Amino acid sequence: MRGLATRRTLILSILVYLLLAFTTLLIAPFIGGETIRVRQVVHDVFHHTWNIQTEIFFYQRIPRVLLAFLVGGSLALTGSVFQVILRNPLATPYTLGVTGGGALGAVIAILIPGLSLTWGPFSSVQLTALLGAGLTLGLIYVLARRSKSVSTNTLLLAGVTVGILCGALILFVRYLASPHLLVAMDHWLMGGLDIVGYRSLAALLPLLLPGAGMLFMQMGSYNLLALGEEMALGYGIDVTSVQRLSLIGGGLVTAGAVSFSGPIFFVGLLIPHGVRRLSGFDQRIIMLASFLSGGAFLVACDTAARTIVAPTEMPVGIITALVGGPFFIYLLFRKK
Amino acid sequence: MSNLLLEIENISYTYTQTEWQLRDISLQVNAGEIMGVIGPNGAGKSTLLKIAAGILKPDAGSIQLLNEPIYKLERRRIARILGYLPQNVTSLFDYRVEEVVAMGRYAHAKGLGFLDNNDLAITKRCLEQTETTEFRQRSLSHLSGGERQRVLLASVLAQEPKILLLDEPTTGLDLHHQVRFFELLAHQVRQGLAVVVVTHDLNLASLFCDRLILMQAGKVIHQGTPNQVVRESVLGTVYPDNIHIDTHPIHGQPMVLPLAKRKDIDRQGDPQ
Repeated sequence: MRGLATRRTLILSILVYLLLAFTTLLIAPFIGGETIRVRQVVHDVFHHTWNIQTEIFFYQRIPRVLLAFLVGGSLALTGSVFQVILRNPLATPYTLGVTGGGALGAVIAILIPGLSLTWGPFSSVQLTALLGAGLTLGLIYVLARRSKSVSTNTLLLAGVTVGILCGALILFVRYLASPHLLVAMDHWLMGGLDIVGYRSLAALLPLLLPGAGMLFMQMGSYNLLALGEEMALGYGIDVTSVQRLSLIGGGLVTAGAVSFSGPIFFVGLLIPHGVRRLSGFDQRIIMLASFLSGGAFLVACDTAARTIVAPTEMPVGIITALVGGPFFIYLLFRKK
Repeated sequence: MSNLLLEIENISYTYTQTEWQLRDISLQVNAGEIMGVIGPNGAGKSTLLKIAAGILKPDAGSIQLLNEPIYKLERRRIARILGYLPQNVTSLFDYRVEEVVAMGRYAHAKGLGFLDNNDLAITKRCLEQTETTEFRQRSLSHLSGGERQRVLLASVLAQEPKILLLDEPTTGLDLHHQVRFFELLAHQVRQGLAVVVVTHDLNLASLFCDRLILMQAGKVIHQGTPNQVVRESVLGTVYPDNIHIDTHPIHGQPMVLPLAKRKDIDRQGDPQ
């Protein structure tokens, strides 16, 4: 029997997710093609004599694990919010076509290697993916915007349509591309988290932090919105404002995640529903738990992706679907 | 202190897609009364209620809530004064009863809406008032229609409003639960609450409401006490040839009986 949502019950509810996230973050950097020993890292840090293992640990594993955690957590968080805002349990961060726009930007940058649109830590592909994702989100928002409020049905349909349009344009770009560029495009489209150093991570934070912040700031409103817009208005929610901020916040998060890691499907759908099966429907708990378990899930999947076929690695998107799919089906059919 | 809680003056509203209009409506709602809004389908009852709740903005006219223009008030402030229960509330998630009731505390809670001891006590009280305590741990999908409506009423009561606007709250409920629901409203009204209820049940409206507003085609065509409104000369203009007015043998209120045109409805040949 669960209690009502006081601060105490919230903390108790997310303790297990915090523990899960903390444990995953602690273990994952030590696992991979090159096994890294804790004692070695500790010794090197205290004696300032870094060997190759410690270099890998600090400049490859830690940033990659952090990126996986932030991307996975943010996608799951956004999924949990979009499912409420769009009143559709199948909604994901990618439902609004943002991924399609991002992917289109990325394949265009891969098609034209001379395109040197770099800015700060953003590579050409990352920057064009970000631009594509941002433009798509803006376009969908303008299409769906009405004088008084945002129509969720229009938003959904516009998002799906723009996604299909982007898919067609991606096919066209692929038609123009030479075989070796097609390999690069496929690699990007399968999703990946291979970064080195902290510059990319630092570039991602200005998108993820405000985006996630905008979602968390309104987490008290989403339960009431789940009872319908009119009921929420009656409860005292400024529905239009919550919808707009959620779309902008979720859009920023998704655009950032897509531009750095490519499309990683399933996390945004599976994690919020999985968490609801385990912890009920209070959206405040679900959002925090989705962020923590989404992050932990992607870290675990990425660890598997770079370990199973070492010294090479698999695209993480394959692992998330292979692991997540059966687990989700288990949760669905598990006795309540 | 004035009893006037809500004052609507000369409001008009047009649905742009259909050009259907609500025209020039004025009414006042006072503390301690139940006002029934009656009329045929498409008369504009729900639209009037949405405008009164500040959900739709009228094209013309004014709405004063506790002597302040409603559109200048924040939604949370409105929710602390006015509770609104729309028709057909569907939940995306299968919340537990006490969770739904506690949602009514949002307008009073600070920050992210976590409950303090006062909120918990009010939630408990509203569960008790609506006789829903025994199934507070059940989820919404495991409730009957009547239980569900009582839970939603409890949630709106948890807002501690001064005025309640209810849109067909007893639709789909059996006779016993309809009467219990109105008795519950009457009990709340005796404590000083004002209730505006849209209903198609003319008899319950006549029995429980202090005043009735009769609407047709976007206009208020009559308002007054049940004795003034529930008459053939008044209701007959809206429901022509379909009603017969009689008096409740116990309560003495005017009652509406349906009249059928079909001759074969006369069952004089039925066995005694």
